[in-house]
Amino acid sequence: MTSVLLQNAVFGLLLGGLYGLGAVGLSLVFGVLAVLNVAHGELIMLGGYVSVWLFTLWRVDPFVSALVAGPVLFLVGAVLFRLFFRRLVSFAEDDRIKTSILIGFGLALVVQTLAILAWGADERAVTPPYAGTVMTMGTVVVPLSRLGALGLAFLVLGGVHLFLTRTRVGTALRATADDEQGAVLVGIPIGTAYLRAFALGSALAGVAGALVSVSDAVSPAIGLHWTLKALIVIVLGGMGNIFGTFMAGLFLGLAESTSGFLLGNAYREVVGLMLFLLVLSIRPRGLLTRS
Amino acid sequence: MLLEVEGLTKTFGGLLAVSRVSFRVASEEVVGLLGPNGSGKTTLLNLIAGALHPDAGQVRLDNRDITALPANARARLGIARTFQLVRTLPKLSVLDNVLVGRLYGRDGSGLEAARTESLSLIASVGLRDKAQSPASQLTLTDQKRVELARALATRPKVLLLDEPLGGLNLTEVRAAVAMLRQVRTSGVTVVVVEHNVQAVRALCDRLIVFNYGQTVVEGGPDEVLAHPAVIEAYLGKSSGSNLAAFS
Amino acid sequence: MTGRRAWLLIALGLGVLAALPLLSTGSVLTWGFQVLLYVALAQSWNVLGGFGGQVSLGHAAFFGLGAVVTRMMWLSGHPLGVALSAGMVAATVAGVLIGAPTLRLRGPYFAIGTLAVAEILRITVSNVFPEVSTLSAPALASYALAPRYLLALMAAALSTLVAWMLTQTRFGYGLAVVRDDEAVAEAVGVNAFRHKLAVFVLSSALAGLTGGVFGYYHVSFYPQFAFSPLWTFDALLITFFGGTGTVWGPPLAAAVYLLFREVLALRLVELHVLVFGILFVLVVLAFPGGLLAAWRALSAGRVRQTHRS
Ligand SMILES: Nc1ncnc2c1ncn2[C@@H]1O[C@H](COP(=O)(O)OP(=O)(O)O)[C@@H](O)[C@H]1O
Ligand SMILES: [Mg+2]
Repeated sequence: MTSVLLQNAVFGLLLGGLYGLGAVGLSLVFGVLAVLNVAHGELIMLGGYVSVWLFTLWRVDPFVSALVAGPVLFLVGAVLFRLFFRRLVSFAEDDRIKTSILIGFGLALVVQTLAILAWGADERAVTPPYAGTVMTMGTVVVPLSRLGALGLAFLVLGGVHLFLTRTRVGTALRATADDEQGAVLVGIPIGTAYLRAFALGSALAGVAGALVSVSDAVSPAIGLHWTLKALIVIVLGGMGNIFGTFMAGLFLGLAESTSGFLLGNAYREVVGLMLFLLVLSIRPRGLLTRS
Repeated sequence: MLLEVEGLTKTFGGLLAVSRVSFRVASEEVVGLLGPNGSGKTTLLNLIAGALHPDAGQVRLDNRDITALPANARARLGIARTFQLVRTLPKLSVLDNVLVGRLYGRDGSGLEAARTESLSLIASVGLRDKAQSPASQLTLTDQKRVELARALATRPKVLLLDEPLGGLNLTEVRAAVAMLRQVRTSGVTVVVVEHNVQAVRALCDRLIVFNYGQTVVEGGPDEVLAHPAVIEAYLGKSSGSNLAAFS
Repeated sequence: MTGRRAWLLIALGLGVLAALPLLSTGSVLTWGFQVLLYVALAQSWNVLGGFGGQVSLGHAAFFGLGAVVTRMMWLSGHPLGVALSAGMVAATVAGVLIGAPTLRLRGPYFAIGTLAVAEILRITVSNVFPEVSTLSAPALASYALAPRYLLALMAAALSTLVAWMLTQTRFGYGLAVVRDDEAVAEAVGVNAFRHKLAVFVLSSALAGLTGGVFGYYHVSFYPQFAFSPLWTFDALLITFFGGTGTVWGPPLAAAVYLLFREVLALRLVELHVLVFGILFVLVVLAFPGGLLAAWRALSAGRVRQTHRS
């Protein structure tokens, strides 16, 4: 009993790391731009396909693909920002959020449909030679590829943290998130900051997507699932703190796997959504608030 | 007493915006609220209208404690207001802006009657020809007229006006003062926040001066405006005639 | 176009639509059914999102409840009227239970909160009723399209009537003010929360009825399919395309949408979603008023020009 529980907890944490990584990009974009990109999950899906294709064509290892998916999605994000979200910048904050939800929702449909047209609706998997290799610790089994994914997620977040705190560009992004007008006043080119934040958020989605492909199947339909997870994590974890978001991801993974074990697997998703509603009903503005 | 405010207190975070304010307004009286920017005048109006709820104190209308009532219930009991930053509904026509006041306010009318009554109110604030235009197309002074008509459409017992002359030019101020005089003669009780001293003198029966969320001086206009503390604090030693210049 | 002439035209239109089953069968009637179903679906969302200004992403929950409850009641032998009413009641009750807490959420949280609730329901339904629901052999033998079509017509007409009433009634005026500025609404005596809740429940009831029509129409479907977020997305797409908060925009857009779908589906099933997704984004960015507003703006421009010349 305890060992099964422990085993579940381990799987929950391993999955939770991906939830965290998936959410950080969305949180960054919302924090800096006040744009809620509900097509974030579709960007994760695209990152997954980068890995799937690199593997199918050239047997590229998914961990290497993750480092390719980041830059690729960075470009995709930059293009999406230029085409669609840049126009929202002149909107008042309330309108901006509302309209961005609608645009993200339209984009989600478009990206998902394009993916179906291009690659079909089937689920695809990446199977590197070490897939299935496990590490045994007492009675608990830890799949190495998932452990690696968690490790890489952690590394990437560490890198982003350093970027945001130690570089000029990163500091400018944080300043914009803190106080937009103030940022303008001290001469931060706000349009560039927006573009960078959006592209960086998309790049993080790309990395997350490639890491998802390590352990899960990828299909055009997975976007909404990942958007929802990211939203839940952000509401649970609050905003502006990368490691807070990451911890919330781990917590959600743990909560899901534990409740899946206790209530039956069919209800594990419901638990996360319930937590989300619970937090919202206690704090109607969410833990996520732009300062 | 028509309106009584007793010990009203409101803090924002650590900031004491309104502090133990008490005063009474008799029926058909016109009371002016003066005070520098940030002294808590708008907050006080919000507390009376129910847009904010106080940390302590009471608001009574017709001797009834209404402190716990939400804004919409107070509006139906007869408290109407305008906003410091004008808040017309830009997408709706002037008529529809005013109509909701008549439909939902104190003893609201049926749709047809409300329409007729609203049109005559719109005419009385001088916007007869613009009744069908969207509010977004109006000038500031016209938007303020719409707000006034909308407030009057609720048939208020007490009308709260927050800087009705703010942002208007000299001609517009004259027209607006004339209009407020009309409101006064029609028997509505008014509490008005205004920096324009001449207008305040012309309109008000009584003035209350605020600073740092507290009442400083209260009394008839001549008496209050001549009070040394008021001159010192708000008019400056040279005694300019317009408070707005110092705010 | 006002007054009696408009009413005459509407009555005539309804008459023609009601007579369609006499004139045609098969594919045209099926298409007609779908248009009317989507008119009802979009209009039920428009009542809340367009007229009420509350952008809910959980609309599918109420459509799904109506579909599943109606279907179960009907298949277990209750008269159709009872089954449809039960579906509507279920959606209405759910509207109160879900609307009351989510309408207190601010900003984007209402949208994502309603989406979360709908997903919870969808997942729960897929767990509790995993089996496909198929009509029995006798029900299949007596299956006729005409009554389904007429029911859809009724749902479409009813939801459009409700939308129209919102332009004509005290409640509708109050709601418009709540949508545009809640502080002003409260200041003139409108209870903002009660208006939002009322319109949420109204919208849920209409979605439940529409779902019921769907549940009665389909030969076989998985219960969870009726809860798919696609129903919400279709409703939004059509409403924004036609013009939020307009009476005739959504019906017009529903017809265009399904015409598109019909034509494009000949080539590729997914193509219409792509085309409409792009159009939707463009409309949101460029014509926030939708098809109707764009048309009015264009024709007003033309009128002004002819006056000048
Ligand atoms: N909603 C609010 N949140 C926080 N502080 C507020 C809020 N409204 C007003 N204040 C503060 O309360 C004080 C009084 O403001 P206000 O009532 O607007 O003054 P006045 O109308 O006299 O200029 C000011 O310091 C202002 O910054
Ligand atoms: Mg003020």
